[in-house]
Amino acid sequence: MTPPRLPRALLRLAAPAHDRAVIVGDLDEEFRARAARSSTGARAWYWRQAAASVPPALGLRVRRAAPFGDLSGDLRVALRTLRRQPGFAAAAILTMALGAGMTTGVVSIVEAVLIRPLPYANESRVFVVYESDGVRRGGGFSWADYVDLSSLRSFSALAAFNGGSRTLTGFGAAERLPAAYVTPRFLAVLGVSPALGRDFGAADGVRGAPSVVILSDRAWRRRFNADPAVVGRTVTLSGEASTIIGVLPASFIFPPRADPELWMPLRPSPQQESRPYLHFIDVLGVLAPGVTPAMAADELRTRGRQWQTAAKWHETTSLRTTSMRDEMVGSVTPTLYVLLGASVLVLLTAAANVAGLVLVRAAARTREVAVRSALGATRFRLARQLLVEATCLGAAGSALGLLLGAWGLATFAAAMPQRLRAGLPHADQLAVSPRAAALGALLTIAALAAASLWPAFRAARSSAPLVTGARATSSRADARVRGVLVASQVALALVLLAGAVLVGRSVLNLSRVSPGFAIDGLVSGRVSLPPARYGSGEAMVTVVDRLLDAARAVPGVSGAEVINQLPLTGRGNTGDFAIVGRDSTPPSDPLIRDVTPGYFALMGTPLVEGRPLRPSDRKGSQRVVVVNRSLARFYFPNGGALGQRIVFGFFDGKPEWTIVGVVGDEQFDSLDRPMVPVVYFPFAQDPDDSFSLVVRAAAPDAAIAPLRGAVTSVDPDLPLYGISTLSRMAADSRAMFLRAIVTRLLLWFAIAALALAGVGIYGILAETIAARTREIGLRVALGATRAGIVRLVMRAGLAPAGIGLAAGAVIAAVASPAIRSLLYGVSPLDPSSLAAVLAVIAVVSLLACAIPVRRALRVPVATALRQD
Amino acid sequence: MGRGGYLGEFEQVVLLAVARLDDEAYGMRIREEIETRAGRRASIGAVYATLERLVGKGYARETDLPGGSERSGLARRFYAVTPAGRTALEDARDLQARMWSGLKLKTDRRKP
Repeated sequence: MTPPRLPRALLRLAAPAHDRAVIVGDLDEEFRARAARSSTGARAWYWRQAAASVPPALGLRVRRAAPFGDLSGDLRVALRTLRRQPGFAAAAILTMALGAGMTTGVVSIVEAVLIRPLPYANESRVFVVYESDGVRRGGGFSWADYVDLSSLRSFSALAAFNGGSRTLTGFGAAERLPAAYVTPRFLAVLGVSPALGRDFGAADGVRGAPSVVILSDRAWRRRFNADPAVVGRTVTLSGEASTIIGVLPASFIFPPRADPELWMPLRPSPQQESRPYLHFIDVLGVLAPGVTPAMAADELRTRGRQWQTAAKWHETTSLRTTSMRDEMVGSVTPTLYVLLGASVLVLLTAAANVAGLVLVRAAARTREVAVRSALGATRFRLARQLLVEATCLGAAGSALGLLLGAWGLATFAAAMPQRLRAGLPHADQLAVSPRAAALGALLTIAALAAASLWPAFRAARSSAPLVTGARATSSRADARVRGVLVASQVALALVLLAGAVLVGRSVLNLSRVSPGFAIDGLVSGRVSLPPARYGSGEAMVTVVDRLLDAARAVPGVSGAEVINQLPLTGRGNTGDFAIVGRDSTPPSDPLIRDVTPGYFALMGTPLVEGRPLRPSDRKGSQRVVVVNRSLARFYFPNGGALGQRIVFGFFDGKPEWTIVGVVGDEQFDSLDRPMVPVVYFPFAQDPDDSFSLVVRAAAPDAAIAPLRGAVTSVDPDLPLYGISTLSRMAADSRAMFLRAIVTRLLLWFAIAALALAGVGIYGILAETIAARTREIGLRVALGATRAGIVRLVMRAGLAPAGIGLAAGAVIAAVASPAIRSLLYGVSPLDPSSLAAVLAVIAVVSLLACAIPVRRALRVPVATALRQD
Repeated sequence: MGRGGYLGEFEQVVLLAVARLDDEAYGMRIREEIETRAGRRASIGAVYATLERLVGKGYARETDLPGGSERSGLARRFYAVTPAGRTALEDARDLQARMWSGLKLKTDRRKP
C-alpha cells in the first residue's frame, strides 16, 4: 500500500530540503500503520495531513531560507545571493582584494624591517655612536677616538667594527667573501654567542696573534656543508692561514655591514693606532645599567665639545648616538611610512567603493528586505544577514588579497637590489607574516561590515515599499551617502596620484642627473690583492699593469682602467690637506682616490684645465695630483689651482703634491647628493691593494664572463667580484630604487583608485537618470535645450567629483611633508604636477559622465512620459 | 528564562511530548502523543515548524537516523530536551503555579 501520490508530491514541494525526508517519512510510516486497519481511512487521513502541513512547511522553508535561523542558514543564503549576482560579488571581492593585498604586503615589510626584534639579547640597550658635523654623519672614528670613548661611563662596554673582504682559497674556486673586523667584545656587546665553538677572546685582538675566524651560518652551510667538525680547521684567507674558532647562529644578522660571511678580530696596524685623524672604524656600545639613551647622549655631547678644542680635525665634531634599529632602517623608514599610508588610502578607497556597491544593491533589495521584515524578521536578524554577506565578501576578498600580497611581496623582494636587501634587517626573509595577514583580513572585513551597516540600518526601517508597492529606487539619503563616497574616492585618488607624479618626477630628475661621466657601456668588478703575495707597492703596480693588459685584450673592450673606489659607491676615504704657502686651509674633507692614467679618458670626465695623469707619473717622478672642479672652486675661487702644492697629514714624511690638472665633478656618493671636492692620486704613486677594474665595452653584459677569465689568467687566486654595469648600479642605488618602487606602487594604486572613482561617478549618474527619466522627458517636452539637460544630469556627477577634488587637494597639501624625503628637484606642492593631476581626474570624471549623459539625451519623450 | 526567551503554548505542548517520549521522540510519535494526550489535532508540518523553533531557541536538539522500509527508507529525526529546555519547561510550570496560587475565579458581573 503506497501513500497517495499527489498530496505526497505537494508536501515534498513545500517542505525545505532539510526537512523533506523526515516529514514525508513520518507521514508514510503512520499511513502504513493506519492502512493496515483501513485503507480508505488512511488515504483520507493522508490528504488531510498533507493539506494541513503545506502552509507550515512553506513557513519552515521561508525560515530556513531567510535570515531568521542559525548562522549557517545565513551563510547559505548569503552564498546563494552572491552567486545570483556574480558581477557585484566579483567587483566587491576584487576591490577588497586590492586593498587587503596592498595592506598585507606593506604591513609584512614594515613588520619584518621595523618591528621584528633583532636577534641580539641586548637589542634595546645597544646603541651606535657616531660623529656628526650637524649636516651629515662623519666617516667613523680613529683608533685613538675609540680608546678615548671607552672611558665613557654611559656604556658598560664598547666595540669597534669595520668591514672588508677576504679571498678564500684552497677550496675549489677562489672566492671573495665579505668580512667584518671586530674588536673581541663585539658579539658580547650585542648579546650574541656563537652556535658552535667559541667567541673571540682578548688575546685574539692582539697584533701578531694567530689568525682566527668565526663563520656566518651561511658561509658554514654553503662552503663547509654545515660540518660541525669545522671548528678547529685551518683555512687560507687572502693568503693567511686562519683557524675557524666558531660558527654564528643562523638567526644572526648584522645589516650595518651587509651580513658578512667571515668575522675576524680587528687588529689595528701601527699606523692606524698612531694616527688620530685616520677614521676607519664604527663604534657601538651597550648602555650601562640604569643609563637612559638621553643620559648617554648628554655625556657624548660633553665629550664632543672637549674634542672640538683638543684637535684640529675635531673642530666641527659633535658626538651622537642612535639605537641599532634606527642605524639600520633610518634611511628607509620614511619610504615605508609612505607606502603604509598609501596602502591605508587604497584600503579606504576600496571600502568606499564597495560601500557604494552595497548601497546600490541595498536599494534594489528594498522590497526583498521588506518582505522578510513583514514575515517577522527582526532588525537584528536583517542586519545580521547583511553582515554575514559582508563577511563572506570580506573573507573571499582577504583570501584573494593574501595571494595578491604574497605575490606583490615576492615581486618586491626580487626587485630589491642585493645591496639594499643586505642592509635591512630581515629583508632577505620577506614573506606574508601571519599578523599582517590577520590584520589585512580584519581591516577588510571591518571595512565591509561598516559599509554594510548603513544599508542594514536602512533595511530595518523599510517596510514602506511593501505597503505602497513602490518600486525599488534609492532614497535621497542614499544618494547623499553615495555622493560622499564618490567624493572621498576622488579625493583619495587625487592624493595617490599626486604622490605618484611627484615621486615619479623625482625619479625622472634623478635619472637626468649626470653622474659626471658617460655611464653607458661601463662595467666594473672588484679585485683585492692578498698581502702575502702582493705586499709591496711595486708588486701592486706590476699586477695592475698586467690586469689592465689582460682586460684590454678582451674582445669588444675599448678601454680598461683602475680606481680604488668607484663612483656611486659611497664617500669612502677622505683626508684634509694643507696648501703650501697658506697660513690656514679651511677643512673640507675631500674624497681621496687612486686612479690609473687613462681613467678620466675612459670615464669621459672632461679635463677643465691643465693635464690628465700620465703613465710617466710613477714612483720616483714628481708627485702630482688631479683635483675636481668642486675642490678647485672651494680652495681657489679666483682660479690658479694649477701648480699649487698641497700636503696631506697621512703620508709618511709629509711630501708635497703638485696640482697638475682639474677635471669635471664625478658623483661618488648617491645621485641625490651634491658634488663634493675630490683629489685623484696616480695609482703608481699611491698604490692600493683593493680596487675596482673599470672597463668600457660595446656589449657590457657580454663582457662580464671573459673579463672574469682575464683576471684569473693573471692569477688564478684572484677572483673578480661584485661585477656589475655602472648603469645597473645607478638604477639599483637606494636613491633610485626606493623612489622608483614607490612611484610604481603609487601609480598602480592611483590608477585603481581613479578607475573605482570613475565607476562610482558613472553609477551615480546612471541611477540619477534612471530615477529622473520622467522629469527629463517632461523638460524636453516643455522645450528644454540639450545643453540644459546635459547641465541637469552632469551636476549630479560633477558635484561630488568637484568636492572630492577640493578635499583631495587639501589632503595632499597637508600630507605633502610625508613624502618630502623622497622628492628630488621638485617641491611637494609643485603647481604644474598638481595641475596635471587635477586635469587627469577632471577628465576621468567627465568621461564617467559621458555615457549616462548620452543616454539621457536619447530619452524618447513619449516613453518617458508613459513611464509608470 | 533561557536564551530562546518566551515559550509559546504549543511549543510547551510539543516540548513536553518530546520529554514524555524520551528515546522514542521522533516526528510521527510526537504528533501522535499530542493528539492522544492533549486531544488536539496537529499536522505534521506544524509539529516540525515548532520543533525547528525549539531547536533554534536551544530548547531541543535533533539527530537524524536512517529509517527502515516501513517509511520508504526515509530518515527519522529524533529530538531530545536540552537542559535549557528543561529549565524553560519548569519555569513555565512555576509561573503558572504562582499565578494560580490562591486564585478563585469569579464570574463576570456586569451592571445591567
